Amino acid sequence: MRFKFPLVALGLEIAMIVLFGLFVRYEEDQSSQHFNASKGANVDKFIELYPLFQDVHVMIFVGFGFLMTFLKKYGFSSVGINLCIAALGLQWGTIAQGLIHGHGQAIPIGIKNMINADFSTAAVLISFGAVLGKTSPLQMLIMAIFEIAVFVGNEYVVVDLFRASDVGASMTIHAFGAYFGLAVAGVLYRSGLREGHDNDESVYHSDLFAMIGTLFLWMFWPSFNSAIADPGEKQYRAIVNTYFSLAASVLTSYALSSLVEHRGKLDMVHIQNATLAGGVAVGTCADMEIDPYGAMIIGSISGIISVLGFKFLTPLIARKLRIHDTCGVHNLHGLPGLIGGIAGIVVLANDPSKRIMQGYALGTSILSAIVGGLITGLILKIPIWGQPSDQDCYDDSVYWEVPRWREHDHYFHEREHLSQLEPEV
Amino acid sequence: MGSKYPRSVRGCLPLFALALETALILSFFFFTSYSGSIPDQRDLLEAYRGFQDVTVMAALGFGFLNSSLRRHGWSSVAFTLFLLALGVQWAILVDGFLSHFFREHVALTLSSLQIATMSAMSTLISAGAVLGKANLVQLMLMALMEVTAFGTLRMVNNLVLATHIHNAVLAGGVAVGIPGHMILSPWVAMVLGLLAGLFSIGGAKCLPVCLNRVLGIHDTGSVHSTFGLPGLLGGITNLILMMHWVDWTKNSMLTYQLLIYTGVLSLAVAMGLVSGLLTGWLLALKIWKAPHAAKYFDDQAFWKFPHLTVGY
Repeated sequence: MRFKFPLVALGLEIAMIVLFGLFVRYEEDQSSQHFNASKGANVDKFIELYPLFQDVHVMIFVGFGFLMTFLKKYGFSSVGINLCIAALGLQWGTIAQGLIHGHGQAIPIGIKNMINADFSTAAVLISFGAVLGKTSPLQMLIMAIFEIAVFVGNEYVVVDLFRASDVGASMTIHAFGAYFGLAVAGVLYRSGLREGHDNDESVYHSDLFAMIGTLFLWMFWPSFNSAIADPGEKQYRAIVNTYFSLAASVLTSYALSSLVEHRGKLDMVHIQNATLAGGVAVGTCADMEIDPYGAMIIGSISGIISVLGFKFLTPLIARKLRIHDTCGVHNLHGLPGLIGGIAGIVVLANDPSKRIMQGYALGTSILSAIVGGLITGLILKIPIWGQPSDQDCYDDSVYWEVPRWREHDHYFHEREHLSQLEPEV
Repeated sequence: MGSKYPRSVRGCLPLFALALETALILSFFFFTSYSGSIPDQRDLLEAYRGFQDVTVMAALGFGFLNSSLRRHGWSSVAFTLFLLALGVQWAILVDGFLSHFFREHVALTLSSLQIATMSAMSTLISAGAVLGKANLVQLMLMALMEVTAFGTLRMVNNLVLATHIHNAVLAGGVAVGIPGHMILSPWVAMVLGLLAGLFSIGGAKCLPVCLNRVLGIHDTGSVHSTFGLPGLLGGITNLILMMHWVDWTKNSMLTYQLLIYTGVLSLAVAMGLVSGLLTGWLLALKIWKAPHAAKYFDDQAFWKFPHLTVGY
């Protein structure tokens, strides 16, 4: 680990710098050949969309990062590796997307490239959620490289070839990221951990930390779905639809959580995740004329499905298919992403040719995710990436310097009468 | 003595929440539409920023402001999110109904969303006062009642004053909320801030004792000193500033306005108290399955704890 990770990380960064040197140019370079007015317009556009880019950025780094801090001994890795993957992913995403859309020409870097690069990163972070705690940082870097390559290919097929509409990327990011992650998790399944792991659980404050991530994602999701929408009416609709879909999914997920749990209590896992399902599910048709009530119906359904998925489907998948999904990304991104794809097909029912394309887009996204995930999983299984042993899973101390004196949650309170801290073993 | 377990809300919470969401979807179907005139991108994004700032304050700000109780953090944060989501949807309908009685569809603009979020914030402030002592069903009802009362109050204000002097006493919170447009130099605002800070601390130090003992009111999140007193201060400052202007201009119109304004300020306080009392009586009914006093301020009453330990 000491040499492998620094070597690979440095090597990748050097590769990125070389690629940027070869292919990436500032946007102004192009417009300066024309008269000044167009240059001014470009800069205006950049500043205008910059806040949306920033919201997406906050979601990627704070939202996704903290959403995954619910494990009791894995908070450092969740936020820290999240940052590392995202930083690599957005560089590689810029290159990969620029090359495939520009057919190998130099890439003029604009605000939309930056937003799209963040989007490609989101897919990797979703997959990261599925394998959280069971992989090494090195494996995650490798996964980021492969997943973004597949992601960009799939996005090209869906958007450029099928001309399918997927403004909030329910299919291309969420469903794709979730099923990719599940496929990887399936290949990397550890039979030794079939009975669970002591550290694969949360404590009181770690769940509260995860709520920070939830809130950031919830607040900024309208930006995520509207960032690349066409300006004007479509962008306005994307904001309003996403907002109401999210609001509706909050109500239904609380209701269902209380319904399925013992004595009507709420489950923190459901609240952290299912409240966001509305934002995922409305993604595909966010900018269409579905009316606010339509968005609310989509949000309500996705909130319900998401909670039911956590309660019944995830245990089933772990038992029967031998896929252990740490964060339950299948319920937050996979199923709502499917709902989003289907909602897109339903909304475009009057337009048969478009409807078929939406169907193809959904199928391609899931298929490419599963195939790509399986192959990537096999590559990650090669025993050279410093995988943690079964006991070392879900433990920060394998990869991080952790404070020697660790406040020890229940431990600490139980032994309060000793009036001293127990040193960590 | 009844059961030691917290009462189950399994019967009513899912039922109410799902029924409510269905009702909201139906109302949205009949009464709302997209805004007809879409601003250009620059204006849209500008309105969006304002709206988003309010949302951030409501969801993150209020959620974590109230999470100081040792065993009540989950409920504070998660209930805030729930009340916000419910309050905004309901406020859109209430505002639409009060402004033109559904003669036409309510157009959803980003600024109407922002106003609805501010209505919902009034609920979040009140939720701070009953924090830890009410379950989610009770809070839900409170949100519905309060957003309605708040919307009515704002409507009355708009009819009377036709200006934007509305939400400080109930929702503005910050003392400078009301007189913002009348303060001509920063030092006035700074004096106001100083006073508000002193009142707030003083109130937090001395008043709870008297509120608790004499009136029997227990204010968990000390919302009275954070929002109540500074809000009143803001209202009174506005009166003083207006008087200051009256002296100088001798304008009878302003005197009239002054009277009206005093009326509006008292109305806001009175309405807050009356609707609050009514809601309180409603919530005190046994049917809502409020938690036992022994389970106050305890997340365990509302949440599933996967690995329950003594003290967490």
